[in-house]
Order: sequence, then structure tokens, then C-alpha cells
Amino acid sequence: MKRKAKEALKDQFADKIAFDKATRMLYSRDVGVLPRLVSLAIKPVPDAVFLPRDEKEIVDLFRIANQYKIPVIPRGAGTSGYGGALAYRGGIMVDLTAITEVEEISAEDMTVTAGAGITFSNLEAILSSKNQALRSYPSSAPSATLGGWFAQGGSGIGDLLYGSFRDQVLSVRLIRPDGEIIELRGNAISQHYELEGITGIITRLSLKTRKATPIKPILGSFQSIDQLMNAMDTLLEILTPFAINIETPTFIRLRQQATGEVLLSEDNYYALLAIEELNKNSESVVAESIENQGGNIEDTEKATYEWKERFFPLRLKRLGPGIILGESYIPNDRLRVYIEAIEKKFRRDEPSVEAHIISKKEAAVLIYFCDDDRRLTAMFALSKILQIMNLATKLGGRPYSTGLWLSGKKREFFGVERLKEIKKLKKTSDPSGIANPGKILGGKVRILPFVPISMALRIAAPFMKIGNTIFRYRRSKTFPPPSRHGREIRG
Amino acid sequence: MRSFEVGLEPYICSYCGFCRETKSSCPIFKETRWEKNTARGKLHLARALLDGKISKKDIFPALTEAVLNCTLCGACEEVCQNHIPLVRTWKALRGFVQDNWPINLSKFVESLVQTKNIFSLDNAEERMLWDMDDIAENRVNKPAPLAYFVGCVTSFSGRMGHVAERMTEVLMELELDFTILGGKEWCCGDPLLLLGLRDEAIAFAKHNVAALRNLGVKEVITTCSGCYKTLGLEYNTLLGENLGINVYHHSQFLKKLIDEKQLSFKKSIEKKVAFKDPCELGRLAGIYNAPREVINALPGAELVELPFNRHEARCCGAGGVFKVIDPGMVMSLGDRMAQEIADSQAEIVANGCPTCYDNISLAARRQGHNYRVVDLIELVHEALNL
Repeated sequence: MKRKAKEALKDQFADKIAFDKATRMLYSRDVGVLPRLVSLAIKPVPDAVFLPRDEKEIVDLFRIANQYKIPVIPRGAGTSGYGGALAYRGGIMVDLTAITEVEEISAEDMTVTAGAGITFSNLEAILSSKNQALRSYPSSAPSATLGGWFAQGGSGIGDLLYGSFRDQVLSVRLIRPDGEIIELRGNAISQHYELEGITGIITRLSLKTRKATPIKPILGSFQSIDQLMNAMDTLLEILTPFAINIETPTFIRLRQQATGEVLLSEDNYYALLAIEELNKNSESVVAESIENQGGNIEDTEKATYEWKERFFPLRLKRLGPGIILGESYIPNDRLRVYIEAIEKKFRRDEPSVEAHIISKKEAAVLIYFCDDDRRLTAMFALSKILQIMNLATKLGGRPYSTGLWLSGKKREFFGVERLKEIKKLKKTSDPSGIANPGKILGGKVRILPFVPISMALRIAAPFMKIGNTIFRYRRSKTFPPPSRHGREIRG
Repeated sequence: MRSFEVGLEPYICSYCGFCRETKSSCPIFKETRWEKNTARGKLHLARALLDGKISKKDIFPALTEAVLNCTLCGACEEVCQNHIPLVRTWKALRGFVQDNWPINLSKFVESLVQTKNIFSLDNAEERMLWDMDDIAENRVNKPAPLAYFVGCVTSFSGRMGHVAERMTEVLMELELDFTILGGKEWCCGDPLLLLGLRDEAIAFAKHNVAALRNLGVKEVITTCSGCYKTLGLEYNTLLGENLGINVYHHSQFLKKLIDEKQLSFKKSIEKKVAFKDPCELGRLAGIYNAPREVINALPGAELVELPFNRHEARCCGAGGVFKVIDPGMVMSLGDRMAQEIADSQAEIVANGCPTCYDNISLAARRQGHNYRVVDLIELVHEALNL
């Protein structure tokens, strides 16, 4: 960053902007660990980190950024792993998590308007005091922010009953890179949805809420994925739960190993059903659907435990001590085939599979592999993510997100028409290209600026696959040290 | 340079960020909002150091600031989905960066090691200054099976001496055979442990254990949650033996007396009373029920809860030697806590830690709140009508 730009930023924002190396380094990753070689492709360490408290400060930032042509990267809690909140060629990282004000909760309209930086869990706690609740939230709700989820996209808990997060959003306040503040409504919201902030910074959202009706979890166990899926197919014809989460035996086994808490049989497939306003009728529908397929209903304690665990799939990381995560959307009718294929293809790698049925048509499937990212050869293991995605595509699935790393999948993700619209929107709203460059529309490799990152990944994929076979990660059976789960209550 | 003993913790962190915005909420992050003040940020800094990703020149100032800007309240550890022993990690890192500490912190430790108390006062002469009325005069250094370990803040601060008086009066009323170490009581060593100075803390533990054993003590009561945690939960490990001394936080001891029907209350409290869970007693030592059971036993007292309680209790801001590190922020965190109490139903907030008590009562006074701030023993004393 030029000296003059740095001085202008310092003069304008004083202690709200940091330039020291350590602080900048802290914002150079998201939930994924970047292999060292990544620095050949991008410059993930930003030149500065900015912590705005209001919209005016963001408008001021864009003024200076435009003047000096500095990239501006918006960031929530950094809980995604697609690189959408990473710097691509340095720039100013804008940490939006201090913009948390809840402006209005309407009991009449059942809506809430809040700052983009508030976390889902904090907003849920505030709403519950008004007898309202969120219609859907991501599994990273304790830290994920409203703005972050809107920009990143993805599915969540509650989608099955209430639709995707997009469906919950009534309006969005966006600061365009030219400094203009606009209020998005209707179709304009869809245009800016899942764009990683390449058209501006989101500062406020209005959401639909639901009445804070208790959610009742029911846990069904099955001996095979076939039985489980048959039960879910029957159930979904009669009832729409708030959420359905499917867990494979490996997922349960590894999680229990990581926590030291053994509650469930490690031979079964589990379906956790979360049901809003459970009544005797719906309870019997659920029981019949499960039992008619040879499944069992586990006791309430186990169901409640699993429901609490919905936020903690990353517990497995303790066993690595690293983790590799691949995500895809799969049609519900291909889910059993997909899970079986994953379990077979990666049987030596202990794939832990978790699937969220997000609509009557589709499920989001998350596959976790323990790994140790301290290994020099750990980068080869990332090929598993590409293999998972290719398998998903073959079965009629689609990518989970694009971000930086998977910008090559943008056509599959957005479709040709939407992509055209996005390009047009980007051109008109950010002609100087300072708003989160390199994301979605694709970036180029840093040391070979004529090679798109997507192409580099395509070329590297077969070599990574070979590398993964040669340098296969083998989980130590003696690792990790015993887990300390909860504290002893002495009195 | 000290050895780096944080092991695998920085690698186990899943980067979920749940430590940023917990229910009890990291008090420092809430105030500063910078990533380096989160557990995730601190572990990431430690990892960068282990991986050699960033030069020591660049990392040490940030790592030092990050690990010292912490009250060691354990809120982050409580929500860590990977069960990383974070408080232990912060202590180890604090010791590791000792060469980079600010001068006032180094002087504090130097003086503590020299004077044996956190106020740099003459330990032998002034440890009993709280006893202005000489009520405990004949208890000092008297061989007895039970000892009251008063602690530095209560002994020296000048604002907390009445807690020791009330405790002593209750014990005397019950005609218990107890002793007080007086000038022979040294700091329990908690501040040293909180700064990662284990070896230095061992010397304090050895001294205090020897002083207690010399008087034939088998049971110890403390009115300080830090002293309780250190004497009761750390000394055995520090000294590598089972000391055979039962240590009670006074809430546990009072509950025991209530269960044994040794306390006959005569006066009604007739107020809504909340217990402010001290971090070192609750999250870090697992004591939640005893103080509440004591309040429930007080005639007329109605136990109410603060909005954030038990394992989700908010830190008052004064723990973890943070008063030495950043007294200004301790005040603003105290103000935040005092306001939270004001927004609750509580008419009285009872404490089990002199550091919380001091910080909250000062903040409540600054802000003009009219609820009463007391130690648990004051309510018991009052109900006994002593």
C-alpha cells in the first residue's frame, strides 16, 4: 500500500484501522487452513484491517479506497472455507462484526432489522425475549453473522420448513463501492445474494421471524442408509419438519471419540428430526415413518443431546488435529447413492458424513476427513474436496458455494443467465473493481497473472489426487490427548 | 526465553469463532472487537509463531498484548467445541512472553515475590491491618484444626477488611476452634500462576502449607475464590502430593453449617438477592450451588438470578491480574457489569470474591446504582443478627 494511502487511512480512522503484521496475519485465513503454496496464487494477508462502527465510516473508507485504487474485502466472522472473506491481492479487510445494533423488532409484522455484524445466536437470544425466533440459521450460528451468511450463501437449520436464508430476507442495506447507500428489496435482494460482497458492503438486514414455538427433537436410528431414506421419503410426504439432519456411523464414532462422550451406537445411521409445534398426530406420523422402516426412536435425552450438537460438527478436528471439509448439494433421491459411494470410495479415509435435508428436493451434504495440516503433504488431501464435488455433479448435484477457490464452478452454481446478470451488476456498481476482487468471477494466479485460479486448480487436481494416494494421512490411534468435556460441578 | 508449553492446542482450534461471541462473552473482545483478543486469534498467533510464519519481532508484541489483555475468566474455554484447555494455554503463553511484559507487570511480580503480597506492603506487620478492632488478635498463630485464610485483597485493600471481620465474627459466634496465619500468611500464589510463573508459585505454596501444618490445620476456609481455587485445586498438583487439608470456599463451609443446623438465623433479609458467580469459583472451580443454597436458607431472602449466571456468568473484568495490566479497562468492564446488575431484579448482589466485590461496588457507586453490593458472609452475619 502506498505511503500516502496509509497516511490518509490513519488520519481518517486512527485506532480503528490496524497495519501491524500480526493483526493483518490474523485476517489472512478463514475456517480452512491455507497450504503455504497458496501464496503463489494469492496474497491473502491484507495491507490493513479496518473495524468500522457505522455506515459513515464505510462510506469514508470507499472514498479513500477509490482514490488510491485499494481492494476492499468485507468480512464477518470468517466461518466459511471458500476464501470469500480472504484478501486476494492485499487490500483493506473490513471486519464488520462491530455493527450489531438491533434497530427494530416488530411483533405485528414478525420481522427484525439488525446490523449485518450481529451473530445469529445473539439475535436469537434478543428475539426470544420478544417471543420470536429466527426462521433459519447456519450451523455456525454462535459466531456467523447475518451479513456474512447473506454474502456467502449456503443452507442452514430451518431451511426445510421456511426456505433458504434468501427467503427470510425482506430488505438489505448495501453501501456500493461509489459510496452510495441503497436499500435492496424484492428482486434486487436476489441479485446481490451470495455475491461475497463484490458489489458492495452489506450493513443491515431485515428478516422475517417466526413465533418462538418450541422445537422438539426426535432421533431415529437405522441399520442402513436405505432404511433411513425410505423413512424420510415417507415422512416428507406427510409432514415438513423444521430440520432433518442425517449422520453416518463414522461421523458418530469419530465425534464420540473426540468428545469422550459415548451415547449412541456407532453402527447405526441417525436421522435427527426437529419438529415445530409437535402434537400427538405429528408425533405418531414420525413414529410410524421410522418404525415402519425398521428404525428405532431413541430416548429424549439422546435426541436433545444431538439437537444441542447441531452447532458442533467440527469437534472432530481434535482427532486430526486438522480437518478437511467437502460440501455439495445433492438431490434427495440420490442421497443414499451418494453417501454409499462416498463411504466406499474413501473407506480408508474415515469419511464422516452429515447431511441436512434442506427442501423436499435437495440436501446439503458435508463430508469431513480428519487430517493433520502440519504435514507438508497435507495439501494433496485437498484433492478429496474436488473428488467429492465431481461425484456430486455426476449424481445431479451442484456446488455448495463459489467464493475464491471454487470460482471455476460459478456457471454450475449460478447458471448462465444469473452469471451474465452478476457480471453486468459488477460492471455498473464497481467499475474500478475494488470491491472484493478475485471472488466469484474468478481471479488469476499471482505468479502467473495470465492463468485463472480455476484453471490452475484443474491442472493441479490429478497431481493432487496422486499425491493424496501416495501421502495418505493415517490417523494416529493414540492421538489426541483425552478430551475434557465440560467441567465437574463440585457444589 | 522460557519454554513454549502450549503443545497442540493452536492446531486443534477449528476456527469456528464461537469464542468471539459467547453468552458470557469474552469481556475484552466485547470491549475492543479486535480478533487478536479472541481465543481464536490468540491461538492463531501462537500457531504462526510455532510455524515460523511470521518473525518473532512482529509476533511478540501482538502475542504479548493478546495474552495479557485477558481476565482469564474462562468464558472462551466454556464454549470451545474442541475442548481446548484455553485458560491453561493463556497462562503458559503469559509466562512464555515474560521478557516482553510491560515494566509495571514485571515490577508487580518482583514486588510480590519480595513482599509476599500483591500490595507491596510489609507482610509481617500489615497483614492483620483489617482487624482494626482486634477481634481476631488471640486467633493469630494459634494451633487449631481449622484456619481462615484471609487472602491479600481482603487483608490489605482497605475496602474489603469488613469481609474478614464478618467471617471471623461468625466463626467466633459458632465457637469454632480456628486460627489465622496473620503475618505468616503469604499470597496464595494465584497471581503468579495466572502469569504462568509456576516455579515461583511453588515457593509460595510450600510456605503456606508449612505454616498451616505447623499449627496442625486440617481444614481451611477462604473468602476469596482465587485463594480457594489455588489452595484447594492447585496446591496438590503444584507440590506433587495429597496435602490432606480440606479447603472450603466460605459458601461451601456455610452450606455445611446450614446442613448441620449449626446456624440459627434470627433476622429476615426481605430482599431479592442475586449471587454474582466469580469466574474462579464457578467456571474455573465448578462451585455454583453452594452460594445459592446459602442465600435460599436466609430468612426472607429471595434468590434471583442475574441475566448471565453460573457457567454463563459475565466476568466483572478485574481477574487475571488484569487490574495491574489495564486498570482503565477494568473500570469500564466493571461499569458494564454494574449496569447489567441494575437491569436485573436484584436488590442485593452477593459476592464470593473480594476482587469482584471491590470492582462491582466501585462501579455501582460511580454509576449511582442503589442496589447493595455485599459479600455472602455479610448477609449471613446480618441474618444471625450479630
